[in-house]
Amino acid sequence: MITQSTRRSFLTQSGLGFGSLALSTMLLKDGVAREQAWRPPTGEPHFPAKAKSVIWLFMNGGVSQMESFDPKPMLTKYGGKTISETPFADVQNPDKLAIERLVVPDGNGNQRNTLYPLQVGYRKHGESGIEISDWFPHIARNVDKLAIVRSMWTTDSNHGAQTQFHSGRHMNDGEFPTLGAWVHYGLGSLNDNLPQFVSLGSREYWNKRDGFYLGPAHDAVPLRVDPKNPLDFSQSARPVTERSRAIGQHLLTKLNRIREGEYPNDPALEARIASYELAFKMQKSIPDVVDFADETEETKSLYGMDHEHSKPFGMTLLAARRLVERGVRFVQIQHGAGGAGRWDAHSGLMNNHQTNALQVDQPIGGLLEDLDRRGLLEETLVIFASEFGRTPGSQSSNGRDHHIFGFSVWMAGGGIKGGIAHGATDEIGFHAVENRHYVTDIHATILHQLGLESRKLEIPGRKRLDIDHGKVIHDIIA
Amino acid sequence: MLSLIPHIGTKAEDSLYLQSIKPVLKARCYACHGGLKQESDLRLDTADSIFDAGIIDSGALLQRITSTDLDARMPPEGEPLEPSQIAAIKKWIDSGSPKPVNEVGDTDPSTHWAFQPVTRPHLPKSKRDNPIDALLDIRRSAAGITPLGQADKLTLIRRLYLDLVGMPPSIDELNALMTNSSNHWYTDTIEKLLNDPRHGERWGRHWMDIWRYSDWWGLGAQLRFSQKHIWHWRDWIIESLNDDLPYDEMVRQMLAADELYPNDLDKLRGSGYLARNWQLFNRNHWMEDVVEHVGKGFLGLTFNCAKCHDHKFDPIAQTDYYNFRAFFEPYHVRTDVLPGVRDVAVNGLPRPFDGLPDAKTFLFTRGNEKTPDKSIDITPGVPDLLGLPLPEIQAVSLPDNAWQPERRKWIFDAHLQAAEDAVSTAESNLKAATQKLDKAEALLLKFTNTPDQTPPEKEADEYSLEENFEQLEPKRWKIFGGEWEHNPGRLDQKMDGATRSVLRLLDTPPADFEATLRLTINGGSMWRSVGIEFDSTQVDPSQDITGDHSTQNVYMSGYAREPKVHAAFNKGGTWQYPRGAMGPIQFELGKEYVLKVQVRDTLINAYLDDELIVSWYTQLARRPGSIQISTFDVLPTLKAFTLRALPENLELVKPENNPIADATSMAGAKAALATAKQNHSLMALDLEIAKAAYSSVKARGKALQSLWNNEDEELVTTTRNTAIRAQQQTAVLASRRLLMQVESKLASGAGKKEELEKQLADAKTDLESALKAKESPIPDDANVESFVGAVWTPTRFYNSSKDDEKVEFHAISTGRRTALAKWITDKKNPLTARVAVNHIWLRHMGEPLVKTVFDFGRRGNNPAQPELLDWLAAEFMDSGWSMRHLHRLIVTSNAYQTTSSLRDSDSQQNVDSENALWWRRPPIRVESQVVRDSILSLSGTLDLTMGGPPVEPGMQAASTRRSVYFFHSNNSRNLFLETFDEALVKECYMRDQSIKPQQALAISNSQLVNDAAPKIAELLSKETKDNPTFIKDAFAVVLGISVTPDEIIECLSALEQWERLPEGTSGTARSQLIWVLLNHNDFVTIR
Repeated sequence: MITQSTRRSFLTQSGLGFGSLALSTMLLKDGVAREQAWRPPTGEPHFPAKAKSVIWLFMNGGVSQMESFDPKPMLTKYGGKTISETPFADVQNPDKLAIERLVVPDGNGNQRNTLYPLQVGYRKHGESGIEISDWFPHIARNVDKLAIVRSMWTTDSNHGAQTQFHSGRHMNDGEFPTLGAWVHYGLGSLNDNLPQFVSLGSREYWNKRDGFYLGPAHDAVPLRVDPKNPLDFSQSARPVTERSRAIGQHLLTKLNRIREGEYPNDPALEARIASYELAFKMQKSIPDVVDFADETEETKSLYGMDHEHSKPFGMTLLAARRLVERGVRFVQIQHGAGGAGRWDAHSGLMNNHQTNALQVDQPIGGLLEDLDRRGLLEETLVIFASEFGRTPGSQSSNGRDHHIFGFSVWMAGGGIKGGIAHGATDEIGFHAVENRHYVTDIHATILHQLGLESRKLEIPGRKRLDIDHGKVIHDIIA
Repeated sequence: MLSLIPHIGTKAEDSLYLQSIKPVLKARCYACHGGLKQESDLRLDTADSIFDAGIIDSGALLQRITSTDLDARMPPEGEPLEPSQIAAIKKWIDSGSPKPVNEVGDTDPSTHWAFQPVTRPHLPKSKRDNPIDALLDIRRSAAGITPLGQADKLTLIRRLYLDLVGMPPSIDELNALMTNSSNHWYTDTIEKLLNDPRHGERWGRHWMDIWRYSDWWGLGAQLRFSQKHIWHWRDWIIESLNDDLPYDEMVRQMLAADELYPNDLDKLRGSGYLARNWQLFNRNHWMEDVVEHVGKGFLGLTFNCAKCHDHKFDPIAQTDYYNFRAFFEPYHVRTDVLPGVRDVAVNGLPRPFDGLPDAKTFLFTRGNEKTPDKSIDITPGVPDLLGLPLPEIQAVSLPDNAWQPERRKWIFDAHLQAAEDAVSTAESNLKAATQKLDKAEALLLKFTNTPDQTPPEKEADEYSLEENFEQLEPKRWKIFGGEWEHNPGRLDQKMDGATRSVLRLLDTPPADFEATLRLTINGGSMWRSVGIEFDSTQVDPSQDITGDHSTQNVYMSGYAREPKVHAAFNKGGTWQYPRGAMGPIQFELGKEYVLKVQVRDTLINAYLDDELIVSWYTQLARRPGSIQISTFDVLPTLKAFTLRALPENLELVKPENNPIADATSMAGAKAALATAKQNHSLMALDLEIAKAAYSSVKARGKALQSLWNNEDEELVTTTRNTAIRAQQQTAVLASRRLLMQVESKLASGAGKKEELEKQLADAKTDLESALKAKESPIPDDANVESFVGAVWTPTRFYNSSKDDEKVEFHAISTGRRTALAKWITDKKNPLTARVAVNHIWLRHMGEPLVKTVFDFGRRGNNPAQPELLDWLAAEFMDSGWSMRHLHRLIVTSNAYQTTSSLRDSDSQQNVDSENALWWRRPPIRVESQVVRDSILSLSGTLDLTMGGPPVEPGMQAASTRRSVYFFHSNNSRNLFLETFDEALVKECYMRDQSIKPQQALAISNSQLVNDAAPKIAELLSKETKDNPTFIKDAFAVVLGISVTPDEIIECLSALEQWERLPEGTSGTARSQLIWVLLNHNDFVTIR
């Protein structure tokens, strides 16, 4: 049996941890590091973990909190009035707007003064009776599994906030590791045949790297839900028979091993050999993850794969389940490629959100149910988020602008309470007013459920601000 | 309980203080109460000083760290100390605050090693030839350690090649060297490689990492970061290295060539360094980037830490940060017009200039740009820490040509040449139009003289479609690929990049048809193609077309170098672009065009705005299929689409020389004549316009010349008036042309009628006012429109949807950056040379001398070999900052030539496991560029063309140019290179050397490697017949390894197995073996 610690040492040697190995060697030469006896993470949680894996559902562009998870009937009541004409004029008090930073004035992210009525109805669902908009019936069916945080805020109102949601810092602040990279760095994998941090779906607007100063070994590996070509370079560009390749692989290992005689104690050579073994295994195991031949029709339709509109995202989420089932730590999923993100409803919000919800709602509902019935939800954290919310006021007559002062995120599984709504915005959904949470509070909560303490993951010489660490949202933890 | 004098601690007590308390104090307290600062006269950096301060006895220490009053609590910033930390301090106090023996306190920053002047250490007496070895010996002998032996010849050859030119030797070069028994082979090889142009490319890439080279990027086609044509700076780096331009001079040119050499375009390329930092939206981020990376890159100082508060480790106050920023506050970026290219979109030189000489620098309170402290104007200045004053800042008077670049001779020459070319083009167009007209007249005459046999105009098929995209009807259209966004009246495709997407019409179209598409092209990375396709088979056309599938495509392309309309087709996956099926067009982004395609049998006519561009018989047989609109690498807006069956009597123009000779009917001949007449008038007018424009350019040139030469007032006025009249005349003719075009559009019904009528009215007004202007007296203060010599790169700091007010070029430059550049490159500056030699050492030797390559401050690492670092820095400066001199010194040292094998090195490992004494050479995982370049070089396919615009992402797969020439930005990175830790464009002072499974996949499976392996095998087989020799040569050439008997046995056995496979031959077996060697660890390693 492979124990945790030998598994970890395998990983360190196998090159998946080589970046950190090299880093530790480097830093150990450093006086500061020596005094503080800094060591890279061992791969063990800092305290007992409640969750093993994370599925991170990120809606590119900004989901309207008012039309999804945070009903605001006052908007309908005062629709068409300017905010100053309503009893809520104080939301525009400059002091309350001061959290907004001036990063990139890109013409969006302005306060829109004329209130825009709710574009969708709300109904109570589940035993908790929490209201969810009618555009998300499948998620709503699972409301008793969700902890909805209705009191999120962030500081930057352009789409560079997409990196802010993942790393805690805006795109223009520099480049910082994203949450998935931290998790990967702190815990490593549960399965040695698969990449441990996977990205599905397009995020062309923001950067493609994740590890940054943690090193490229902690970047997400982009996968495609296509068994023929699931991973870059996973197929030989020239046809080659299996037998011929096997002879070559065998010879390669032999030759590298012979060189160990010439170059004993060379960690890079060891890591190279291990990385080839892993690559050859991955080449076999990855197509299997995205090949759904062994899934029942019932499961496929649970994910909405029998409808054209929800099929692509359904396939993505089914692949996500298969990944966490096989022990992948962090599956980062992006929905809504193109421009700054497809949820970016500056105009035509109704059409935009309805279309997008049709694409994601059933797959997400199906994912929650499928994880649940397989007993995976207990150890899998699911997060639904976007970089910010949208303005209570209208833009271009039928849209909403970017909004950072209050928006919603929900989490489910992995030891999170179900059927609760935590925090609140004011009556028109403008400011988070109760139990306010910055985006990194979500990171802190996820790390906490995984048994990690972000301060213990810090790297000497890479100062993190307090706000980067965030605060655990204890109220939503079961 | 408390003792009055701290006692000397026991070992256990020491360890409490040293391990649990001192690190906490260092991390949380030293910044204000240590060597750097002594706030409230308090130092906490030794047990003694804590005791002496009396804060233990008074209880103040515990009180302050446990206080809940935020104003009183220490440390004031961040979280309070952790309970366990407080408990440890308490325990220490309770045990009598024992102090360790000989405790060393925090150093005084003024004594920090890196801030001391570089003094050349005395070389020890030594038998060593190379001072590097002599200096390394000092500490080695003290530690009783001997370096390992020299690596073998093959390893050294590979080392030199990969290190100095970035690829292994060719087979011939290797053979020649292996048989070269001269004593000088090593130094001869070094000289040869240092003089090889590939050397500049190899080392240029290193400096491009440090100086953060990046091609432009943004959102789609919008430039947001860096600059177009920044590759001039890359070429300057490479050329400068090949010329051994002194490092200090390179730094000066990068920071201030616009002030030092204002008219020297070659040197101005160097200042691309500053143009690269440009940002569209936020000036502060731009300035932050500059301050941070000038500091880190040239000085090893982390100024960026002092943006919000005083530096915690180094004596850099927050004001110092803003003093440093003030050097750059005035500068902006422009693109100079280069000889021979008028359009800066095509080419131009990006460079800085002081456009905002009066811009003020304010300190941002707590670093927040929203809270500038406007009470103090911050002036340029350098921190005192180096004890080196800034030279006086002297404003620079720029020569006229520099700040009025329109005066540069080639600007006028280029305009005149272009005008001349336009006249000859117009002349030949008119000639062709006249011939056509003559023939059309003759033809009509023929029909007039014979009875008209034209059949009555037949009602066309019922089929007719007018789509205005008010709705996007799913029953009518189906989308494949791309990112389409529909709004009433417009359909946009918003995904940029070299992918196809298609909007397919679901109706069954008529076989012979006429389709029009009204559109604008708003952007697109390169090809910008929108096409009307027909006969398309029903596959998902955004994917590859394969098998029996086919399509025909008549498209317009806004490709900047060659805008065109082109009729192409695809059969079974291969696109054919017949050259004759193409016609050039004038193209502008954002302008509305109507593309019209008429097809009868295999004859295609394509019009753009009613101008016939293509007439062509397609070579692909017609077949029933769909009609669809396709896009490739383009951001278009589709506004209207019409489709109708081609009226039977409509004559298409045939591609023969005599396009109308074959008209078979009277109506056809009449139509042809009408077209020919219209065309003729237009061409005649075009010639008039071209001639007028030519005169106008000449007159403008003359007028500007007399103005610039300060000729007498009368002459200035006369030439000015001539020029203005000439310009007005051109404007009149241009208005006429526009009017003529709108009239003909109206007549033919292309486009929306109301819009056209409005255009007609506008055109008439324009013409009237143009005529009026020509008749009106010229006002005294009228100016001749100047030529454009440089274009300011517009920013959008204040409003993202429109450009900021133009920043003007000024006659005076502030001289601030010149002063800074002089200060940085002053030999008395203790940091500049040290930082540079450390970077150079790192890249030769695999590890730097100072680990924190961008931080030589007190938080950084101390050099393990301070004498060596200082000697190299002194030698570097004394050699006239010659990098080549330094390269020679390092690569001829024994340290460089030492083996990297740890075999038989137990004694050394026991004494110095970290190799701080350089007793071995660390192996290096080569950079991404070396991996790719080596593969191409070994296969004999590497294209050694130097310089020029970068290879665009879409062209990279097919390109065999060196990787340094690949387009490289935050948005566009080559996937293969990326896998091997490609440089980050925002910060890359040291490459990662990761080892990950994706690298294994990339080398195993990529096209690059799989194409190269058989070629390498073939090259190696040329002279070698037997397998053992092939194996030996392959190891030597691909890996730089002398093969061992074990390896030969394994390879022979594998070769045999491959040959025995059903598909096996000696050739395939050998290429499989090469494939294995390319995947070998040593292929990506410098041993």
